[in-house]
Amino acid sequence: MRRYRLGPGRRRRGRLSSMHALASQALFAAQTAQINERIATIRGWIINELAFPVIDLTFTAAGRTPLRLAARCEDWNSQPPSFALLSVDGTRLRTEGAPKEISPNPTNVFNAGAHPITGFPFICSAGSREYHTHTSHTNDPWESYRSGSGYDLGGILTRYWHAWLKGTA
Amino acid sequence: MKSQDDLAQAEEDLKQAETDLAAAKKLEEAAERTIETAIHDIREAEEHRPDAHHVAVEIATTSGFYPKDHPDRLPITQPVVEELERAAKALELTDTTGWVASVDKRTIDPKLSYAQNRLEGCVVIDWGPAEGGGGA
Repeated sequence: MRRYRLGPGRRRRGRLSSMHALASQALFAAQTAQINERIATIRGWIINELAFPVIDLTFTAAGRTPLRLAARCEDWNSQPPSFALLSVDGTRLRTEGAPKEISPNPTNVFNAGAHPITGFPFICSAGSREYHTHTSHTNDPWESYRSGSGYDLGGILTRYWHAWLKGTA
Repeated sequence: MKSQDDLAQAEEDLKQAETDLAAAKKLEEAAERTIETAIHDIREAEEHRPDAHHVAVEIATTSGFYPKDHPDRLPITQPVVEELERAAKALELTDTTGWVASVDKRTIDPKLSYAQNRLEGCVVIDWGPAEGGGGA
Protein backbone atom coordinates (compact mmCIF):
# COMPACT_ATOMS: atom_id res chain seq x y z
CA MET A 1 0.00 0.00 0.00
CA ARG A 2 0.99 3.62 -0.07
CA ARG A 3 4.07 4.40 2.00
CA TYR A 4 4.23 7.36 4.30
CA ARG A 5 7.21 9.09 5.77
CA LEU A 6 6.27 8.29 9.33
CA GLY A 7 8.39 5.26 9.97
CA PRO A 8 9.34 3.05 12.86
CA GLY A 9 10.31 4.64 16.11
CA ARG A 10 13.88 4.36 17.36
CA ARG A 11 14.99 1.13 18.90
CA ARG A 12 15.85 1.24 22.59
CA ARG A 13 17.49 -1.78 24.12
CA GLY A 14 16.21 -3.96 21.30
CA ARG A 15 12.61 -2.80 21.59
CA LEU A 16 10.69 -0.37 19.46
CA SER A 17 9.79 2.86 21.13
CA SER A 18 6.15 3.90 20.86
CA MET A 19 4.99 6.12 18.06
CA HIS A 20 4.21 9.59 19.32
CA ALA A 21 0.44 9.90 19.86
CA LEU A 22 0.04 12.73 17.34
CA ALA A 23 2.19 10.95 14.78
CA SER A 24 0.14 7.82 15.30
CA GLN A 25 -3.07 9.76 14.78
CA ALA A 26 -1.69 11.45 11.66
CA LEU A 27 -0.62 8.12 10.18
CA PHE A 28 -4.03 6.65 10.99
CA ALA A 29 -5.74 9.58 9.27
CA ALA A 30 -3.54 9.32 6.18
CA GLN A 31 -4.07 5.58 5.83
CA THR A 32 -7.83 5.68 6.32
CA ALA A 33 -8.57 8.79 4.24
CA GLN A 34 -9.67 6.72 1.25
CA ILE A 35 -11.62 4.11 3.21
CA ASN A 36 -14.97 5.63 2.44
CA GLU A 37 -18.47 4.82 1.18
CA ARG A 38 -17.22 4.42 -2.39
CA ILE A 39 -14.86 1.53 -1.67
CA ALA A 40 -17.18 0.19 1.04
CA THR A 41 -20.06 -0.10 -1.43
CA ILE A 42 -17.96 -2.06 -3.89
CA ARG A 43 -16.74 -4.44 -1.22
CA GLY A 44 -19.93 -4.86 0.75
CA TRP A 45 -18.45 -3.18 3.82
CA ILE A 46 -20.48 -1.15 6.26
CA ILE A 47 -18.48 1.57 7.99
CA ASN A 48 -19.87 1.78 11.52
CA GLU A 49 -17.15 4.05 12.88
CA LEU A 50 -13.91 5.36 11.49
CA ALA A 51 -12.25 7.83 13.81
CA PHE A 52 -8.93 7.52 15.56
CA PRO A 53 -8.24 5.13 17.19
CA VAL A 54 -11.26 3.03 16.10
CA ILE A 55 -12.09 1.27 12.86
CA ASP A 56 -15.43 -0.49 13.12
CA LEU A 57 -16.49 -2.26 9.91
CA THR A 58 -18.98 -4.95 8.98
CA PHE A 59 -18.19 -7.36 6.15
CA THR A 60 -21.27 -8.47 4.23
CA ALA A 61 -21.75 -10.83 1.31
CA ALA A 62 -24.67 -12.71 -0.19
CA GLY A 63 -25.22 -16.00 1.59
CA ARG A 64 -23.04 -15.10 4.58
CA THR A 65 -23.74 -14.02 8.13
CA PRO A 66 -22.10 -10.58 8.36
CA LEU A 67 -18.94 -10.26 10.44
CA ARG A 68 -18.20 -7.06 12.30
CA LEU A 69 -14.62 -6.12 13.15
CA ALA A 70 -13.78 -3.47 15.70
CA ALA A 71 -10.13 -2.50 15.56
CA ARG A 72 -8.39 -0.33 18.13
CA CYS A 73 -5.34 1.37 16.70
CA GLU A 74 -3.74 3.18 19.61
CA ASP A 75 -0.01 3.33 19.10
CA TRP A 76 -0.32 2.62 15.36
CA ASN A 77 1.99 1.57 13.83
CA SER A 78 4.38 0.71 16.63
CA GLN A 79 1.75 -1.86 17.51
CA PRO A 80 -0.66 -3.64 15.17
CA PRO A 81 -4.40 -3.03 15.67
CA SER A 82 -6.25 -5.10 18.24
CA PHE A 83 -9.33 -6.66 16.66
CA ALA A 84 -12.55 -7.69 18.37
CA LEU A 85 -14.79 -10.03 16.37
CA LEU A 86 -18.43 -9.06 16.69
CA SER A 87 -21.86 -10.01 15.44
CA VAL A 88 -23.60 -7.36 13.38
CA ASP A 89 -25.33 -5.94 16.48
CA GLY A 90 -21.99 -5.39 18.21
CA THR A 91 -22.07 -8.44 20.50
CA ARG A 92 -18.64 -9.96 20.91
CA LEU A 93 -18.33 -13.46 19.44
CA ARG A 94 -17.95 -16.15 22.11
CA THR A 95 -15.93 -19.32 22.02
CA GLU A 96 -18.92 -21.58 22.58
CA GLY A 97 -19.75 -23.43 19.38
CA ALA A 98 -18.56 -22.20 16.00
CA PRO A 99 -19.79 -18.63 15.46
CA LYS A 100 -21.58 -18.50 12.11
CA GLU A 101 -20.02 -15.10 11.43
CA ILE A 102 -16.66 -16.83 10.92
CA SER A 103 -17.93 -20.09 9.45
CA PRO A 104 -16.83 -21.50 7.08
CA ASN A 105 -13.23 -20.55 7.65
CA PRO A 106 -11.06 -22.35 5.08
CA THR A 107 -8.07 -20.04 5.61
CA ASN A 108 -8.02 -20.47 9.42
CA VAL A 109 -7.45 -16.72 9.68
CA PHE A 110 -10.34 -16.55 12.16
CA ASN A 111 -9.82 -18.60 15.29
CA ALA A 112 -12.96 -19.53 17.22
CA GLY A 113 -10.96 -20.60 20.28
CA ALA A 114 -10.06 -18.46 23.27
CA HIS A 115 -7.08 -16.15 22.84
CA PRO A 116 -4.68 -16.65 25.78
CA ILE A 117 -4.87 -12.96 26.71
CA THR A 118 -8.39 -11.83 25.72
CA GLY A 119 -10.25 -15.12 26.12
CA PHE A 120 -12.27 -14.41 22.96
CA PRO A 121 -12.18 -15.64 19.35
CA PHE A 122 -9.56 -13.71 17.42
CA ILE A 123 -7.85 -13.05 14.12
CA CYS A 124 -4.93 -15.39 13.88
CA SER A 125 -2.98 -13.85 11.02
CA ALA A 126 -0.15 -11.34 10.77
CA GLY A 127 -1.30 -7.77 11.27
CA SER A 128 -3.52 -8.30 14.30
CA ARG A 129 -2.24 -7.69 17.82
CA GLU A 130 -3.85 -10.94 18.93
CA TYR A 131 -1.74 -12.90 16.41
CA HIS A 132 1.55 -11.32 17.38
CA THR A 133 0.89 -11.69 21.12
CA HIS A 134 -0.27 -15.30 20.86
CA THR A 135 2.12 -17.70 22.52
CA SER A 136 2.37 -19.66 19.25
CA HIS A 137 3.55 -16.62 17.30
CA THR A 138 5.81 -14.61 19.56
CA ASN A 139 8.64 -15.63 17.21
CA ASP A 140 6.84 -13.83 14.35
CA PRO A 141 6.95 -10.21 15.52
CA TRP A 142 4.92 -7.33 14.07
CA GLU A 143 8.19 -5.52 13.39
CA SER A 144 8.80 -7.95 10.52
CA TYR A 145 5.60 -6.82 8.81
CA ARG A 146 4.92 -3.20 9.66
CA SER A 147 6.87 -1.74 6.74
CA GLY A 148 5.87 -4.50 4.35
CA SER A 149 3.52 -4.37 1.38
CA GLY A 150 -0.13 -4.47 2.33
CA TYR A 151 0.35 -3.99 6.06
CA ASP A 152 -0.97 -0.48 6.28
CA LEU A 153 -4.47 -0.21 7.78
CA GLY A 154 -6.29 -0.55 4.46
CA GLY A 155 -4.07 -3.48 3.52
CA ILE A 156 -4.67 -5.35 6.77
CA LEU A 157 -8.44 -4.87 6.46
CA THR A 158 -8.29 -6.03 2.84
CA ARG A 159 -6.35 -9.15 3.79
CA TYR A 160 -8.91 -10.12 6.45
CA TRP A 161 -11.77 -9.34 4.07
CA HIS A 162 -10.23 -11.60 1.42
CA ALA A 163 -9.81 -14.32 4.05
CA TRP A 164 -13.44 -13.97 5.15
CA LEU A 165 -14.66 -14.05 1.54
CA LYS A 166 -12.88 -17.35 0.93
CA GLY A 167 -15.57 -19.00 2.96
CA THR A 168 -18.30 -17.65 0.70
CA ALA A 169 -19.85 -20.09 -1.75
CA MET B 1 -46.12 70.20 -28.92
CA LYS B 2 -47.34 66.76 -29.85
CA SER B 3 -44.37 66.13 -32.05
CA GLN B 4 -42.00 67.03 -29.16
CA ASP B 5 -43.79 64.55 -26.91
CA ASP B 6 -43.54 61.92 -29.64
CA LEU B 7 -39.83 62.56 -29.97
CA ALA B 8 -39.28 62.24 -26.21
CA GLN B 9 -41.28 59.01 -26.18
CA ALA B 10 -39.36 57.67 -29.13
CA GLU B 11 -36.03 58.45 -27.42
CA GLU B 12 -37.21 56.68 -24.27
CA ASP B 13 -38.33 53.67 -26.31
CA LEU B 14 -34.97 53.60 -28.04
CA LYS B 15 -33.13 53.65 -24.70
CA GLN B 16 -35.29 50.80 -23.44
CA ALA B 17 -34.73 48.85 -26.62
CA GLU B 18 -30.95 49.27 -26.27
CA THR B 19 -31.11 48.07 -22.66
CA ASP B 20 -33.20 45.05 -23.71
CA LEU B 21 -30.77 44.30 -26.53
CA ALA B 22 -27.77 44.39 -24.16
CA ALA B 23 -29.55 42.06 -21.74
CA ALA B 24 -30.49 39.73 -24.60
CA LYS B 25 -26.86 39.66 -25.77
CA LYS B 26 -25.73 38.68 -22.28
CA LEU B 27 -28.34 35.90 -22.19
CA GLU B 28 -27.22 34.73 -25.63
CA GLU B 29 -23.59 34.61 -24.47
CA ALA B 30 -24.57 32.66 -21.36
CA ALA B 31 -26.60 30.23 -23.48
CA GLU B 32 -23.65 29.75 -25.83
CA ARG B 33 -21.39 28.98 -22.89
CA THR B 34 -23.93 26.46 -21.57
CA ILE B 35 -24.09 24.79 -24.99
CA GLU B 36 -20.30 24.67 -25.22
CA THR B 37 -20.08 23.08 -21.76
CA ALA B 38 -22.77 20.53 -22.66
CA ILE B 39 -20.99 19.62 -25.91
CA HIS B 40 -17.71 19.26 -24.01
CA ASP B 41 -19.37 17.02 -21.41
CA ILE B 42 -21.00 14.88 -24.10
CA ARG B 43 -17.70 14.48 -25.96
CA GLU B 44 -15.90 13.64 -22.74
CA ALA B 45 -18.57 11.09 -21.79
CA GLU B 46 -18.32 9.55 -25.26
CA GLU B 47 -14.54 9.34 -24.92
CA HIS B 48 -14.93 7.18 -21.79
CA ARG B 49 -17.94 5.14 -22.90
CA PRO B 50 -17.43 1.45 -23.44
CA ASP B 51 -18.36 -0.22 -26.73
CA ALA B 52 -17.82 -3.56 -28.42
CA HIS B 53 -14.07 -2.97 -28.56
CA HIS B 54 -13.53 -0.96 -25.39
CA VAL B 55 -14.14 -1.23 -21.66
CA ALA B 56 -14.47 1.61 -19.16
CA VAL B 57 -12.14 0.77 -16.29
CA GLU B 58 -11.68 2.00 -12.72
CA ILE B 59 -9.26 0.55 -10.17
CA ALA B 60 -10.48 0.54 -6.56
CA THR B 61 -8.04 0.33 -3.65
CA THR B 62 -8.06 1.43 -0.02
CA SER B 63 -5.55 4.10 -1.07
CA GLY B 64 -8.01 5.59 -3.56
CA PHE B 65 -9.50 5.10 -6.99
CA TYR B 66 -7.75 5.33 -10.35
CA PRO B 67 -8.49 7.30 -12.45
CA LYS B 68 -9.73 9.89 -10.00
CA ASP B 69 -12.54 11.46 -12.01
CA HIS B 70 -13.78 9.15 -14.75
CA PRO B 71 -13.11 5.62 -16.00
CA ASP B 72 -10.38 5.00 -18.57
CA ARG B 73 -11.62 3.78 -21.95
CA LEU B 74 -9.33 0.92 -22.91
CA PRO B 75 -9.17 -1.69 -25.67
CA ILE B 76 -10.63 -5.02 -24.60
CA THR B 77 -7.45 -6.65 -25.90
CA GLN B 78 -5.20 -4.75 -23.49
CA PRO B 79 -3.74 -6.79 -20.61
CA VAL B 80 -5.28 -5.72 -17.28
CA VAL B 81 -1.83 -5.36 -15.74
CA GLU B 82 -1.14 -2.22 -17.79
CA GLU B 83 -3.91 -0.28 -16.06
CA LEU B 84 -2.86 -1.71 -12.69
CA GLU B 85 0.66 -0.40 -13.27
CA ARG B 86 -0.71 3.05 -14.09
CA ALA B 87 -2.85 2.93 -10.94
CA ALA B 88 0.12 1.89 -8.78
CA LYS B 89 2.12 4.84 -10.08
CA ALA B 90 -0.70 7.37 -9.66
CA LEU B 91 -1.67 6.15 -6.19
CA GLU B 92 1.98 5.83 -5.12
CA LEU B 93 1.67 2.15 -4.30
CA THR B 94 5.28 1.17 -3.83
CA ASP B 95 4.94 -2.60 -3.63
CA THR B 96 1.99 -4.55 -4.96
CA THR B 97 3.64 -7.95 -4.98
CA GLY B 98 1.07 -10.66 -4.31
CA TRP B 99 -1.93 -8.38 -4.70
CA VAL B 100 -5.21 -9.79 -5.95
CA ALA B 101 -7.41 -8.19 -8.62
CA SER B 102 -11.10 -9.03 -8.64
CA VAL B 103 -14.29 -7.84 -10.29
CA ASP B 104 -17.57 -8.37 -8.47
CA LYS B 105 -15.60 -10.60 -6.06
CA ARG B 106 -14.41 -12.81 -8.95
CA THR B 107 -10.62 -13.05 -9.09
CA ILE B 108 -9.18 -12.14 -12.48
CA ASP B 109 -5.77 -12.74 -14.05
CA PRO B 110 -4.01 -9.39 -14.63
CA LYS B 111 -1.71 -10.90 -17.23
CA LEU B 112 -4.71 -11.59 -19.46
CA SER B 113 -6.75 -9.02 -21.40
CA TYR B 114 -10.18 -7.74 -20.40
CA ALA B 115 -11.75 -9.94 -23.07
CA GLN B 116 -9.85 -13.00 -21.88
CA ASN B 117 -11.02 -12.25 -18.34
CA ARG B 118 -14.61 -12.08 -19.70
CA LEU B 119 -14.94 -8.39 -18.81
CA GLU B 120 -16.97 -5.91 -20.79
CA GLY B 121 -18.78 -2.61 -20.35
CA CYS B 122 -18.03 -0.66 -17.17
CA VAL B 123 -15.53 -2.50 -15.00
CA VAL B 124 -14.41 -1.72 -11.44
CA ILE B 125 -11.36 -3.74 -10.49
CA ASP B 126 -10.90 -4.20 -6.77
CA TRP B 127 -7.18 -4.48 -6.07
CA GLY B 128 -5.44 -5.25 -2.80
CA PRO B 129 -3.25 -7.65 -0.85
CA ALA B 130 -4.29 -11.29 -0.61
CA GLU B 131 -5.13 -12.87 2.73
CA GLY B 132 -2.13 -14.01 4.73
CA GLY B 133 -1.77 -17.38 6.31
CA GLY B 134 -3.78 -18.26 9.37
CA GLY B 135 -3.76 -20.76 12.19
CA ALA B 136 -2.59 -20.78 15.78
